[in-house]
Amino acid sequence: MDIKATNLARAKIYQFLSTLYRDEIPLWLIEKMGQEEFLGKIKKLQEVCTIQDFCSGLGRMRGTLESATAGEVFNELRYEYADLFLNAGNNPAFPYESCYVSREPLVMQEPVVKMREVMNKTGLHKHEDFLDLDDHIAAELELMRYFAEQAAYKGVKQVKEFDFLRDHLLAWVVEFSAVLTSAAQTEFYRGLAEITMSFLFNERMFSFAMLSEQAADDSYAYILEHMSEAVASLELGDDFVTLAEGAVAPEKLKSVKSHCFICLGLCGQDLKVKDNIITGCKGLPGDPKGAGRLCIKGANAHHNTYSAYRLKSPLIKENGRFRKASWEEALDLTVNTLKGIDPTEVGFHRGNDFNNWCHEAVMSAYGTPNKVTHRQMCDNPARMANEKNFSEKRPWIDYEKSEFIMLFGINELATSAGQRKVANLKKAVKRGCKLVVIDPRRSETANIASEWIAIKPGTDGAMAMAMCYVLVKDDLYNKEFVGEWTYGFEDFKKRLMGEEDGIARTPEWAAEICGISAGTISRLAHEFAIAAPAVGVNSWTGVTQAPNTLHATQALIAMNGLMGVFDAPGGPSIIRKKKLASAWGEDQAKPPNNAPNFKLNKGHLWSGWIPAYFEKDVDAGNLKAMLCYFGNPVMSCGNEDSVKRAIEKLEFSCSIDCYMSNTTELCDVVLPDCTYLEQSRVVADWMYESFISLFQRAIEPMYDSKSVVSIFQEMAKRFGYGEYFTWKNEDEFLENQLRNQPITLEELKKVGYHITDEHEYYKYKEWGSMNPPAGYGSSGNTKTGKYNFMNPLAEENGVDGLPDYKDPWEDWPELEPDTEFPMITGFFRVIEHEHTSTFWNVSLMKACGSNPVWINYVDAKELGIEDGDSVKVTSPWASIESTAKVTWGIRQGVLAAAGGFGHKYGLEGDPKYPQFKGFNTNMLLRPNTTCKWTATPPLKYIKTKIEKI
Amino acid sequence: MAEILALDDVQDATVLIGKILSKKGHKVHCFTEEDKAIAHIKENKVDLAILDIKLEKMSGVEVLGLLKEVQPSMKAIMLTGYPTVETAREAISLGADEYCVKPIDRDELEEKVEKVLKTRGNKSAMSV
Repeated sequence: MDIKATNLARAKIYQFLSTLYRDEIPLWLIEKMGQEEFLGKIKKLQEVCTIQDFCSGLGRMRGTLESATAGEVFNELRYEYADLFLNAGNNPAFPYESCYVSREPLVMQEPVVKMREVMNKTGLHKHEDFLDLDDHIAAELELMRYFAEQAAYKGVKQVKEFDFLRDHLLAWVVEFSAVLTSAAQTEFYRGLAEITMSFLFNERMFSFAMLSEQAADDSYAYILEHMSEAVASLELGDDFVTLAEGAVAPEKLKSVKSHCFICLGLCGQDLKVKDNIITGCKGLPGDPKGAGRLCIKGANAHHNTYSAYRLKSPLIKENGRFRKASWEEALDLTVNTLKGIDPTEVGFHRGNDFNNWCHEAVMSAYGTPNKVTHRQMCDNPARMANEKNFSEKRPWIDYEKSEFIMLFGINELATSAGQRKVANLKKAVKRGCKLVVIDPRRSETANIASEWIAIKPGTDGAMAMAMCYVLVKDDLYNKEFVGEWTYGFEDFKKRLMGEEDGIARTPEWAAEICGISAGTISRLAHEFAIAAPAVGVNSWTGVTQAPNTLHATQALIAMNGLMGVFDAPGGPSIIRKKKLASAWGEDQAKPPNNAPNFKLNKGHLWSGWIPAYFEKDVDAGNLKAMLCYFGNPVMSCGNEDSVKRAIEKLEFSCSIDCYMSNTTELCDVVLPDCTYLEQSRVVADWMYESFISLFQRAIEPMYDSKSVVSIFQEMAKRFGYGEYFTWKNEDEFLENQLRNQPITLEELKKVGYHITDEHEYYKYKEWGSMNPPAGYGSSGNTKTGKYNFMNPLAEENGVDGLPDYKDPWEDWPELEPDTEFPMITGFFRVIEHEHTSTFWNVSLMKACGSNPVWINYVDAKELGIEDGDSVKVTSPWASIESTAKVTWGIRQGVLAAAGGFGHKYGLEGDPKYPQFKGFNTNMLLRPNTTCKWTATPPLKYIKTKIEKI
Repeated sequence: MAEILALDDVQDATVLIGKILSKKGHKVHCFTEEDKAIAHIKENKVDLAILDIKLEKMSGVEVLGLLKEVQPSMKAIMLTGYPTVETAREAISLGADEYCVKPIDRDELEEKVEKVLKTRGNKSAMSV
């Protein structure tokens, strides 16, 4: 072959390889590859080929093609393609150069910038129809094809071409091929890996020869000639698919003002974006939530977006495996199936509230009453207490001016809910404010506290009741506030004094229950009263995720009520948010709500769909299908195996998510959501000040993912309600929502937030009510306009509405610890992770990649367990294996591990990264069990035993 | 300046590596025998090992495993004419940082050595 023929032959092989990697291999191509014209040539080549891996690769490829019919091979390979390249499997072979720079599963790194530079200098850009990334192996191989053709047809010098080969493909092909060979289940893709690596190394040798103006090696020339002839028989065409003509200059660096949507904190973010690549993430100065600060999650938020584990395309499950699908096919299948099922037998589970006004409305129009959020498994007891007893679920304390703070089961330093608040707490402690943390575990917040009270799990209500007893009995409470601004005090007082049941809630009574001395309880109550009004008590999931803690939350918040410290400088805040207008314009018709008033499950107080009862409901025939958006009910809402079985038994399930998860893997259809950095929303928020907060799209949706509004608009059309969901773009609904605000969307985009009302104290006195005035909202509403010691909802329902302590096992005797299972196990939050949603982010996994079981030093000594030992934790319902972390930082009789771990996909599930591995404490839960008052599963109250293995 | 161990059963190759990298200010210890290279690392700190995959007594990948046992933080560049996927898998799992194609290209070797030494930690471990 002359040099022109040689370069054209090389181009053909590059085209062949690029085609095989670019997408699932189409049936027509498999048919052609299975024909004698191709196979015969391959066979002949194989017989004389002296290059080991190339020859072996051809053999493997041929073996697959000859092993079954073209249709069967096509199906097998498309499942494999989804597993390897679309992240449907747990051991993907990331086809991006970026992932091999640091061997971390992170895309859109420097190689993309470099690749764009090369394309730009070559007069090319990534083809608009190629939805994958610039440094995809198919794009790099096609660029080599382009170079080789240019050399052949135009005599273009090959220095640039060979530099590209060396600097890009050869820099990662070894590792990519090794990964692909290891991950592939079919001989075809193993063979492809071998051919690719072998070909590129021979190309490198070829480049040496060309650059030194010598002839190519004869054996390589033979391969080029015969392989290109075989490829020619496939008629791959002349078009370029990943590349298009025309240089595109890179966009300049810009700053996008937005807000974090990883935890509930919603801190302001300033994203640096260059050429549609997020290069950094910093706090947004002045923003009321973060005040310019971000935690590790927020600072690495773009690594969620750029996780190589992202779902890229709709997937449909066939024969137990996923294959790629078009949006049309996947949406048609989903909606048509749901239309064939009674909406009252369909559950809509959503894990977040991103533009929830849209998906809630679509599902209401469809007619399902079974809509559930993360709420129940989170802090529902606190919400049900606070939202009815005053006007807001989370009365964050004004730490800046506090003198005495008591936190029950809330680890502010790891939980955050706004980095400004965390900073204020740290500053307060530094200036001498007393911080008392009540928690069985010495949390990060307990570490900076003046006192760590290692209470028995599930007994916070007893301690709080006894403190209230002291405040009332010793006449320390604020009579003016109690007289004017509270409801139900006399009944509450009777309970405290034991006038109802003969049991006074004294410190001595509480000490027996909660394991804290009566003297400590009494002293803390006195200190609290003395420091008032610059005091506050608050709690969170450390309290609420044990059974029967509605009344406990009422008890501890009642301390605020007794001292009248709501909205005091340094006290818990009364919250107001300036309401947004509707996303529907004035002239836009709103969709109907076709959901019947139907409650799938009923408890003492909470009713609706309770996903902890998922399996029971499916077994009873009450639920037949599920649509899940950004949720992972398998890992979060009850016993993991039970919820898994429930979903497997459904007639149909669809998940909308960014990643494959323990829930998504069970679904029949998977729709790829984009991360919050690829879509927009606006919310009314609050953090001392009331403000409007913009979540501004920083980059275009990646791959073939869509925003949640787009997805639900498409679903609405198919349900027959498209006329109600007609926004043409995000700006249209954002402008509608902002039409009653003193700032326009364009102005808001420049700054990211707008304060509508400054921080004020004792707002309720001006309002004449604990409820915010017209035009403002909060998450709750007090019917009396006052603070209620007596919960009005409970009173209406004729059930106990007063604060109290109730045994966690009162409704479920099986939950009571006993001699066989004496320990109480639960999980705790770590700053590096948010629920189950951050385990595909390598930066966060490197910071916290496993979750050993914390065990008290004394317990460990007695059981012969040493730090780092492998241990087995067993409940009556399941067991798990982990590693022990022996510490004094946890109460005796209590075990705990960081929450969110136990993924089958992402870094924990990927065998390439065995260093990341943990377990889900929810595996140990009693199936189909939940607090009968609030539907919260006993996530932090699991009786267990632990042993060394 | 880094302490570099070069191991290749062809002496000319180690000499060439030594010449290229010494000019860059590195101290290069050249070996043609596996045992001597292993003995060297037991007594001396090595920042980077440059190992030919095809050696006389054992494979470069085996040597890499032994060297990493002694100094896990040591970085490694594998030299190869035609690597197979299997050797690549082994080397990556053992923590090789880079591959360099033989015959040695001066620019490529200099660039890869600089890149590997500049990286603070080793590349992430990856089991394949």
